[in-house]
Amino acid sequence: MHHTAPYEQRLARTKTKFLVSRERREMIWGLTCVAPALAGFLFWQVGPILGSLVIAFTDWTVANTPHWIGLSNFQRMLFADPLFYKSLSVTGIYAATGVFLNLSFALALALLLSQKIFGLTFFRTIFYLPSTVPAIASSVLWLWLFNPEFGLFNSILTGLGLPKQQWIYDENSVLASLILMNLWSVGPLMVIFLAGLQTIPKYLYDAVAVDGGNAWHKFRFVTLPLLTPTILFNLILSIIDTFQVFTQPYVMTQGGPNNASLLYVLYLYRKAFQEYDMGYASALAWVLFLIIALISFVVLQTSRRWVFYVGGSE
Amino acid sequence: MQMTHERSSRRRRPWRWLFLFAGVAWLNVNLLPSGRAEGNVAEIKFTLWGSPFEKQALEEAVKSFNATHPNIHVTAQHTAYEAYGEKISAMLASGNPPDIAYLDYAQAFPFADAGKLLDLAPYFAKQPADKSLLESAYYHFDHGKKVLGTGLATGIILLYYNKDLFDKAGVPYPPSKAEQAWTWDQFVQVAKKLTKDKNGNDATSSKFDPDNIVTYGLSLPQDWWGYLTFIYSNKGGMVNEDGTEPLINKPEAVEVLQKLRDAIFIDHIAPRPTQNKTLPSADILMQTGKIAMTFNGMWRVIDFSQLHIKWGIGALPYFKEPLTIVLSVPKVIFSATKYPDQTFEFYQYISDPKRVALFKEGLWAPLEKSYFTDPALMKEWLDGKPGVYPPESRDVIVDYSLHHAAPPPPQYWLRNIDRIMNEAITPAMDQLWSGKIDAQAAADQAAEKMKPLLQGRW
Repeated sequence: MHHTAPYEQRLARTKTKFLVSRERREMIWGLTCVAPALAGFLFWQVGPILGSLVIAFTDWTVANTPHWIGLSNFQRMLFADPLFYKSLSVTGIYAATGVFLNLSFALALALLLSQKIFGLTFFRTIFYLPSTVPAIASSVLWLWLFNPEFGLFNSILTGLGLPKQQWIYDENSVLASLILMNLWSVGPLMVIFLAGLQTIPKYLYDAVAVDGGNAWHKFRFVTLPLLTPTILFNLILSIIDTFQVFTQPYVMTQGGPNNASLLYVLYLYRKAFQEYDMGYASALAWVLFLIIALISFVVLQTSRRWVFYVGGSE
Repeated sequence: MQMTHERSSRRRRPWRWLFLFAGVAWLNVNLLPSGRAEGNVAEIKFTLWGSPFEKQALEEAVKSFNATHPNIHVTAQHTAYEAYGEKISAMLASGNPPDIAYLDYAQAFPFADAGKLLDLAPYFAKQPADKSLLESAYYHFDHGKKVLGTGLATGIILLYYNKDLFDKAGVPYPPSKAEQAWTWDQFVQVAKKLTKDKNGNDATSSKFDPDNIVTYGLSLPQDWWGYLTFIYSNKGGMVNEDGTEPLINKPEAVEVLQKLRDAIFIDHIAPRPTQNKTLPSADILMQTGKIAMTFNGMWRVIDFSQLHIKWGIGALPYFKEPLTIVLSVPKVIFSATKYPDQTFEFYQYISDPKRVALFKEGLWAPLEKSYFTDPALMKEWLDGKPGVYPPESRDVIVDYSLHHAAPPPPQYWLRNIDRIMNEAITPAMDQLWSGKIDAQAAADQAAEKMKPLLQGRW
């Protein structure tokens, strides 16, 4: 005991040394491997993000020498820009309705596609497929579907003896049409829901069945509560996505008719790259960031009340 | 153990070499071009957008320019229009603008105002008198004292039509001379005869079914020039000459807007222009017999000439005076260029119909006045490639460019034009084309929203 101690100590030391050097080596290699991505992230993302924060306090228009104008851009936004409020309300309606419908639709699809039916993988693929189409391509496709003169939707309506609609060409229906179109690409949400459904243990359903519960009870008291973590995740993902939607209105409506589809990021883009009002556009971008951050924060805070984690806590 | 160690160290070494190699390569790439520019050759960067065809034609012009000018070397950089503004902004912001460039007018004026563009007035003043340009070519700024550039070409608006559909309806072709041009009301009558429903009735018939139209007499462009041309013809305008008062809600303009609206909702001769984006371009619609006529730019001659249909061009219908609008993208030289003289030489080269094929191919009309007055030069341009320009071009394109060009549209001189269009004009026109409000209401709304945005002229 007495004279074995140094040996054990030595052994322990060697072990630690070995571990340290091995860990360090792995650490170095790990860092080396992520370095390109990290450098890219710092250089192409964090850098411009911080840059835009500075630009938001200037009157930079690309051509001029920027001047520091303090909070002027934010003042203008809040007190002198009706289109800011217009785009905010358009985006708010789009996001609120869109998020709700997207989640419901994706969940409904996931429930249907988790049944044991013939050709399951085929149907899953079919419903996921639209999400693999690039946004521009699907926008162009939907432009055709929405065409009031020759489009498929109006042909169907005419066939049913219903009046033709103007779809994206009418102030009152443009936003609804874009929301409808967005349902086409809920594939990723659906897949996440499907994964969530797989984690629900089968014995819970059996328990409901033993107690005489029907399909609704199974859904209401097993599926829904156990799916809440997935719903939370999809909810936040969906909020961020819908607030930042750009391609569809850019390609299809340019914010029209009469600014009825002037979604926030499209307005921002217009300020930045059509009017070259970079200072103001950067200010708009930061306000959007704050809005999304605030909403996500509220959702996460309230989630404690409705999200149920198996095993008690997260 | 020994082997693993050896292998791993051997594996590490090539990495080092690779990094060293990459470093050397990087240094080479970054140092060599600037080293070459130290010589006598003037390096000129030219940025442009445009169709693959336009790109190819200009690259050929660049190649022949470089071959004949050993002391100048031009490099052309093509970018899609959608990303072009961003690219130029980034180049300018990083202190590395091109020497010569296509530039959207929304960018050109603020750039010129900030001194980023070369004033070309002294350069044009030095040109020989026989090389003088049509007055409509210039983009002036600083209240007419300076020139930020010319358009790429002389782009006028004219009437395109499908001869087969005219023959079938038994209607005479549109006149090509300004003196014989149809009035708007005569034009509408013709368009009605060309508009057919699925039962073959035309829009003049009492049995005509406006809900099932197969062929429209007319396609109205959605762009501002689609209505501004006729407002000018009615001696109206969008804003006054100082750029301080809206004219869009004055009777001359409102009359035109109302007639255009009626063409859609009362005469049923045209689909709503808002849905043009969903449809194939006008030339394809005409080829497939969906429309009989359209107003469009002279630059579409190239597209129509490649369709296998019998087509023609005609004088625009008019309200008070037969005229057309001239418009073209500004071509500019950045003041940061190290070689202004050499760049201007290239600038002139790509405006020269003898050097660039796009003129005889039907995309561009010359800027130089002599091509509109000298029959030999005119022939070179219009007959340089048979089957491109129809014979009536001498009236519709040449005579109109020379004698019936309206004063420059606001895009050539009005400050804040982009916001005025985005926030005042376009939303009001959207409502007009939806049929929900009449022309006076739409125009009043546009004028009201315009007032706080008007900042005078450049």
